[in-house]
Amino acid sequence: MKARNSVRTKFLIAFTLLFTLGFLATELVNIAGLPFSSFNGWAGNARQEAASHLTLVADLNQNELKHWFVERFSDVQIIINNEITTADFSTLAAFSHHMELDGGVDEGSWSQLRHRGDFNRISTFLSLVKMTHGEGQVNPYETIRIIDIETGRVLVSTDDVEIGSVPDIDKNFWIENTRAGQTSIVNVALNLGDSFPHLAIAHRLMDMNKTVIGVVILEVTVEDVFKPLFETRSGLGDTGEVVLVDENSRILMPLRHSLKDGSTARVLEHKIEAKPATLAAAGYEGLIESNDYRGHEVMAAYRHIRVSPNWGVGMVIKIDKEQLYAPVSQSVRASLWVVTIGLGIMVTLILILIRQLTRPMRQMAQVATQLAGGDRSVRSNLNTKDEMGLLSTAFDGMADNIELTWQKLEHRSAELKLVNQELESFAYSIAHDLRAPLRAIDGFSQALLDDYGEALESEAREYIGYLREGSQEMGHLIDDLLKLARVTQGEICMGKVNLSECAAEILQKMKDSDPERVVTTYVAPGGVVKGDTRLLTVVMENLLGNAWKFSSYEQHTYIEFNVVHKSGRVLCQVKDNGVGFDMAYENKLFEPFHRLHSNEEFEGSGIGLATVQRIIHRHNGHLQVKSKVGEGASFCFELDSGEAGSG
Amino acid sequence: MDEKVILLVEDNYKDVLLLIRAFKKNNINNRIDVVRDGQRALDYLFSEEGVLPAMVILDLKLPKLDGHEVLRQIRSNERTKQLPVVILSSSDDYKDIDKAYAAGVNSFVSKPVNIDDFTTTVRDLGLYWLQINKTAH
Repeated sequence: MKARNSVRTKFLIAFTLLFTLGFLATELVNIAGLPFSSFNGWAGNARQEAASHLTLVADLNQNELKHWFVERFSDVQIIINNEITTADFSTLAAFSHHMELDGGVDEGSWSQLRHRGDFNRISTFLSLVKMTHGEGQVNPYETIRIIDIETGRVLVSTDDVEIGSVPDIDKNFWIENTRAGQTSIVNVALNLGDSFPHLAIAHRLMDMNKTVIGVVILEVTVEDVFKPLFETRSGLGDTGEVVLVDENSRILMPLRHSLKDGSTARVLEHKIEAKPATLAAAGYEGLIESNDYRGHEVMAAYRHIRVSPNWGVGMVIKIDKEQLYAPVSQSVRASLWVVTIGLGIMVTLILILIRQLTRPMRQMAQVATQLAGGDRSVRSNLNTKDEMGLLSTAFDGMADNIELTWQKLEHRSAELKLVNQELESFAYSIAHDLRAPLRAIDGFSQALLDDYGEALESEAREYIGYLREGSQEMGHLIDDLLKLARVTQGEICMGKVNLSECAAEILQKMKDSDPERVVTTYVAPGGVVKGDTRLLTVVMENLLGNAWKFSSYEQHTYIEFNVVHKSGRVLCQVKDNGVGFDMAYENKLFEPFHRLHSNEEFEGSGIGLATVQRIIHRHNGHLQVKSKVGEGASFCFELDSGEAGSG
Repeated sequence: MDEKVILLVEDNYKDVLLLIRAFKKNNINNRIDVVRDGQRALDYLFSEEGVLPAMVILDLKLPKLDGHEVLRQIRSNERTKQLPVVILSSSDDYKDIDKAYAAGVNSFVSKPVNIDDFTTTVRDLGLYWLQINKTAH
């Protein structure tokens, strides 16, 4: 016998669930922290740490950049606020205008310019400014030049070749913007083949009378200040990156990764749509968890460095969340391994433990099964001192009791069998031995009448008639008693019995026996029940016989046999319109030899209904009676249906 | 009809008397040989020189050998196995009836207590079986 939901399985499931839930809860608290408390958990700590680190790095880099730009602009201020530039450039510009008006803008006229004192003073000054940053560090300036506001030509430059030329960038850009009132302009451009852009910072130059006379342009290399940023990881880890964008979110230096579509972003062309960069470009500063230009989840600090009224730099310093949570997921993975192995060991241990625990149970189950199977000699005999031992002892005690009771029962049933046999042979004796003398009495009474009737007085003949009557009555009693005895004993032979057919036959026989009587009968079809044909025929004979008998004084006799089917049972009714009886005597009705009518009214032994009731009882049925004096009687009994499906 | 002998196996002499009266009353005047127990019935039937009766009327409860045994032996003997045997018994137990028919009895009749019924029954028995025998010859 195998248990479907074995204790083992239940234990195992319970322990495994408990263990797993416990682990999950601990792990969850570890990672996420305790709710409503200051305990943050690994994930929270990692985030906080990363956030403060990013903020720190962002602030440092922002300061550095700011500082660098401030330096550039202070250089600008030094140039424009110097007498050398303001005074000398106006004279130099005036000279160049004359020169141009004279039509001499060739090399010769420019060399004429080079020999002028004002030119040389400004040149020296600009070189000095440029050189200031040259010592020990990379010089940020490529060229410093001043262009004439009128012509756009370079009049002074640290790069001698430029002098007299119009700079690469459209002269109108500088001049028109300056004329439009802008004090300083920043322009970013990328030279072919360069990775880092090229910055030009321009500022208007005014003379003493505050007349704009030129534009000072400082060509600056940003590589020196951007590249360290580009390369910096400064403790940001493998995924750390600094992204610089201009006010339109266009990147100012190469990105470390490819874009979503796999292409490489081009400096000054690619515009980042990701939130941290756009926020930084728009001038906001802060910390955000969002997606970067690749679509990866990142934590980013964003800063803005305002350089000039028309230009600023947005800076994003970010790390991938993956990296952020890497230590967390690593430790989770490690603990998962530990848990899996632990679970495996636990399951094995539990299995072993449960095997130990359930062995006595299985043993008991086996013993119980054997016991149920009829082997009453088996005992569990566990002899352990635990609860199973108690159970075993109790169980064995019960088995002993069963054995004892069984023996008693067997003894009793043997006794009963014997008594039954005695009773049966007693009944047999009655049949055989009592009938013969009765027959002799009846027979010889008749013989007496036949042979000597004429010699006897009429009174004597009458007495002999009573003699016969008495013996015949006793004969009937014996017949009925025997019937009752056989009904009570004897085996029931179950089969299909059609009570409707049976009733029809009996009624027909009775009608044939008395063709004069006015009788209407109704027999419902389909009264098929499960039972013993012989016994149920006795029932029908008795009930219909009673109906026939007790309605014999009616002018018109009605006898019905009705059938009602209900869920595997069949309810049968035998109904007549005879004399009926008082329901107060209902209980007496089924007592053997008890009669409600005198023999003069209705003949009978009073055995019939007792017999009927016993037969119905032996078929697990119930006999019910309803009657009123003068209004007929109805007898109902319920039996198992003989139709298919009723079992 | 007169040469047909009826063998009556019956230990109760009152029943014998009543039976003979019943035959007489119905004008069945065949010779009736009566034996009182089963053993004598078999002796009667199995004696070499004896003539076989036209029918045997057999009681069940008999001294020495009971009716069932007598019937069994009649049916297992080559000479007597076709013999018409009627059991006339006080018993109306279905066990007896089933057993007798299983053993090959031709008819099983319960002895009625009422002498009128008894007479009718005996008449029917005699007429039927003697008549059959007659036409068979």
